[in-house]
Amino acid sequence: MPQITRRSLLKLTGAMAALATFGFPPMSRGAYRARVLVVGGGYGGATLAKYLRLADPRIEVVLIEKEGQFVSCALSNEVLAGERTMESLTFGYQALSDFYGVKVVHDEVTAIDPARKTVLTLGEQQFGYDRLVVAPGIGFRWGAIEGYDEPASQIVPHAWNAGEQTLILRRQIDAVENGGSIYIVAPPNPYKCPPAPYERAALIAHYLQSKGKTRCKIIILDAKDAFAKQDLFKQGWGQHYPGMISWVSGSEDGRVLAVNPQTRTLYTELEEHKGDVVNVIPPQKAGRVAEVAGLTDESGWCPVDQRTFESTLHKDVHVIGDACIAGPMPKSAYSASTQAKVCAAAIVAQLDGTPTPDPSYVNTCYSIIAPKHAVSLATVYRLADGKIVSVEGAGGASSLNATGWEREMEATYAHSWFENITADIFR
Amino acid sequence: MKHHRLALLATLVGLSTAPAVFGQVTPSMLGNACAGCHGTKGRSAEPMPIISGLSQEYLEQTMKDYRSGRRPSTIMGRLAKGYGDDEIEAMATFFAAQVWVSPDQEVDPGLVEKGRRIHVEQCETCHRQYGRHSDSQTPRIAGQWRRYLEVVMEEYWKPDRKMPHVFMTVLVSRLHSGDLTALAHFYASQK
Repeated sequence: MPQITRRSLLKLTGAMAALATFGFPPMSRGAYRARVLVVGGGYGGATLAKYLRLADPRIEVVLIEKEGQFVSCALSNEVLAGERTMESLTFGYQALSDFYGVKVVHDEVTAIDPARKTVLTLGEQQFGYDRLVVAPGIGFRWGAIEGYDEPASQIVPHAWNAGEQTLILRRQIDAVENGGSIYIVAPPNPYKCPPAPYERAALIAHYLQSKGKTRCKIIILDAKDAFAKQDLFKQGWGQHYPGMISWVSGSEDGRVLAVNPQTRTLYTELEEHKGDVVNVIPPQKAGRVAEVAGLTDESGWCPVDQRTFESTLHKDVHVIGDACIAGPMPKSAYSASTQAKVCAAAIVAQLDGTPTPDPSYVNTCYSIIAPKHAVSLATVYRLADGKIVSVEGAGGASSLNATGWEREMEATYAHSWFENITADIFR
Repeated sequence: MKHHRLALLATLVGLSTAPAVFGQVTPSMLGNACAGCHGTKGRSAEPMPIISGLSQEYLEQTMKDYRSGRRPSTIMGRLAKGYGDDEIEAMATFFAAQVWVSPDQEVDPGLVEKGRRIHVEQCETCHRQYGRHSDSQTPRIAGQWRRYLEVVMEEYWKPDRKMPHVFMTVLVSRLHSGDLTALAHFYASQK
């Protein structure tokens, strides 16, 4: 349950008296038929905001996002490879407000009260809602790897949220000498963007190779015994970066238990590994706001009705994207965007009092192994007996026997994927 | 009995006890799921093909060709297999109902002129109105993304890539790769 402090209660009262910008309660807003409050403006939340407005302009959509701009994690591994700028990953919310009439508020949510249907922010604003959609992305389980907390991530970056973390890792990789060792600690399932640690290894190898540092070693210490597109990655690593990348599975003592950030040393059950660069991708859970709102279960993620993405713990609150439990759907940008569209359609139907449309979900996920070599995973999902399931006989990964031309085309489409999914939100 | 208990449980945890009412997969539900790659309502960013406003029959047949493997693809075959005939029809209806908007593209004026001449001689018979015509056999190509047109013509040009329209394969195989580039510039210059 949310904690409402005496201070915030006082502020709340003050806000009511002053009739804060967004007013209270939610039912009394002129031309709009309902207000949907969206917390988090990433691939999930921002898509939902736009598609709700496209579906019904009589719905007031207020998007609360703490950052002034969105920085995409998807394709941020290309920044590590020196193939892309941070600017190219950065998007403003202007189009959402100017073209689609989304009310964008840059503030941080501190408390959610599902019973009274209100949200409080750090900026001491208070919002009422008819429907709330929470899309906070992931949070980190600090301390799950002993010695790995937020201050440690300044020295030993995770680079699992794009931005300054990406740049820290980029600078460290840039400074590595030929023959240096780079460790990537891959997390246990579930986590954001399952193939990304392995794409990262490839793109770091590409960068080092382009600088003539082919004696460098990239070692992935994994908590798992298998990973997404495994055969395709191993094939690509061998083809482009022979001898540079090795992968240690969980059962081969790959699971990292502790880290000493000062000495860049990793401890597994049997060994210690000292790296010139150490990238720790920690175990994950739903983002902070989901926890604050009491939307998570014992798994640390948010259980939802997979038809509507309405929380099974709080009525009229939906959770989409990385934070929710969506059956076999991976925590990816495309999953988040497709869930947002399903959720938007469900909310519109609920407000209309019409039957909730049958959902259809898609995930497409590209991994870039070299500038002209990408591989993909595609899945179509539907609902069966209330659960999201993959459609049998469809989807899957790129063929192991694809031609060089097809790999190159997939690299073209990987970049096009990024242009389109971001345009589908921010333009 | 079981249902009663569930309803009671739902009441206890504060959820609605109203019976769930389910609808059908709507055209927009299906179409919107494609937008992450093909752009909102099918108006894509380069080089993904623009699919808004193409003929319903053409879109439907293309998806079925991807599904059966009659048309080769990197990813579309895997995706198309996820949909039944009704869903493909609904999806095609959704995109056919959208408006085609030709984007501004950088083109080389010399290549545009060369492409225009080749078009008139070789292509106008089917791709009428300088490529604006659209029917069940013929996609609109005027105003399509240049890089996409180049990719498709390369696919027709490559002997090992078995494309569905044999007639196109024969025509394209007679052209030089410079001609294909010129054609792509010409169509990209059209609005």
